[in-house]
Amino acid sequence: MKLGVSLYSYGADLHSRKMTVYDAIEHAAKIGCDGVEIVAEQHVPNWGNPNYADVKALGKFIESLGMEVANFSCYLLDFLRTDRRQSMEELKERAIQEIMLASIIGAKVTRPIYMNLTDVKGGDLNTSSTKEDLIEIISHCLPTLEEYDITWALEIHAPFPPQYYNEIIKALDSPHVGLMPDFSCWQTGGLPSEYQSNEISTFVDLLPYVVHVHGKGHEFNENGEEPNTPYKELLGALKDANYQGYVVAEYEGWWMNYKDSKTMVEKHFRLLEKYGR
Amino acid sequence: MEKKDVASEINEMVELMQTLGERDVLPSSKMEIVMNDISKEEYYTFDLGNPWYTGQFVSTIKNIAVKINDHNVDPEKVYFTLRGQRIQAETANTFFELWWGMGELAQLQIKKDSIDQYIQKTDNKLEITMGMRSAMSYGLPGNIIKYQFKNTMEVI
Repeated sequence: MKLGVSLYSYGADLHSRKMTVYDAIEHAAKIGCDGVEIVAEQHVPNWGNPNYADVKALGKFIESLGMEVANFSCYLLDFLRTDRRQSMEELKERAIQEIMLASIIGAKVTRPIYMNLTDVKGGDLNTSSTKEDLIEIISHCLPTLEEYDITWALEIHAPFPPQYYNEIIKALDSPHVGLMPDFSCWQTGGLPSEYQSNEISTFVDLLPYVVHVHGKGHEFNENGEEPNTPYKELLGALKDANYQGYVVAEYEGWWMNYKDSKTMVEKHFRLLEKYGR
Repeated sequence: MEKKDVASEINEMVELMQTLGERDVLPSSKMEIVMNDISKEEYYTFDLGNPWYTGQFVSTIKNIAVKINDHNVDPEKVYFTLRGQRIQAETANTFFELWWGMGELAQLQIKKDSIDQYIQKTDNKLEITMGMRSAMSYGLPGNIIKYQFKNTMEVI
């Protein structure tokens, strides 16, 4: 497997303007990452309608440091307007644009996340995005995914159950659609992003469809372990399956309090190396 | 582990987003008097960082309420300026193509003559309440996070 870092992990210092995206990429190269994940809404200037040259330059810079764009994460935002929700046609159009931007930056995997937590929390289901929506959107995008040789990764993140997207994978049955498990689904310890830990077997069941992995982390103990996340078991399962894609460190402790991003990212990446190399 | 109940999970998410958002947003305690080149009117101006955990379209700003030295500033006198583009803060929620980058500094501008009588040279108590809509549903109440930013400002 290949190991990298999601630039999301540098959030504390990007949010507080202490680092630039380019600083974060340089740091990731310095600690030995094979690739980095870009989160468009955090890292691409003037997102929404970015300058293509800016997007290309970002990809070129990553490549110049001997790394790849492990994944181009983005969001399919449906409440961006105040007066109404985005229409299905607008969402489809947006998804096509995001796939093309993924290609421009040099990614082979993209994650245009489209979800509504009311799906699992209950609440106003009239505003809920459904799996049927996703099937319609991705079906519309399949020719573009094929043309640009990009894979759409469906991110499985707590509180969604690990098997949440299985029916979409089966319905679409395409090599250009896969799964992106986020370790939050298997974290314990009552972390803010965690609702209910799942058995490791539920991770193993997903492996045939996995195209990218988020190694979620919130804190690291004196032994370099993430005490809430069974890294040894999860990365061990990927090794046993001879998984060839990326696992990227996604440090999220920065939401809770400020800690130096470079220090935390390096600890996190060493943990990936410990069980993933 | 027991599954958390929905209400407590939502409360945790709201608190977490507020904690992050309120951390780095007013980076300076300086309030500058700036003259607008076009209108030739003067404004008290200070930086305001994007509190959201990513960039956001400006349309996600539901409202910005400013209070200075316990005086509620007339919303019509408050402007939001981003990369030199200046709009009345009340109309921000219509700008769904204008991107406010992650942590990016915008400027809040308050028409000078509207608050002159409440301002002193130093120790001005600034309080801002800002509602921001999530452009993707996290199941939050009303899909809105309400931030409160406070600082003590000096006029320069």
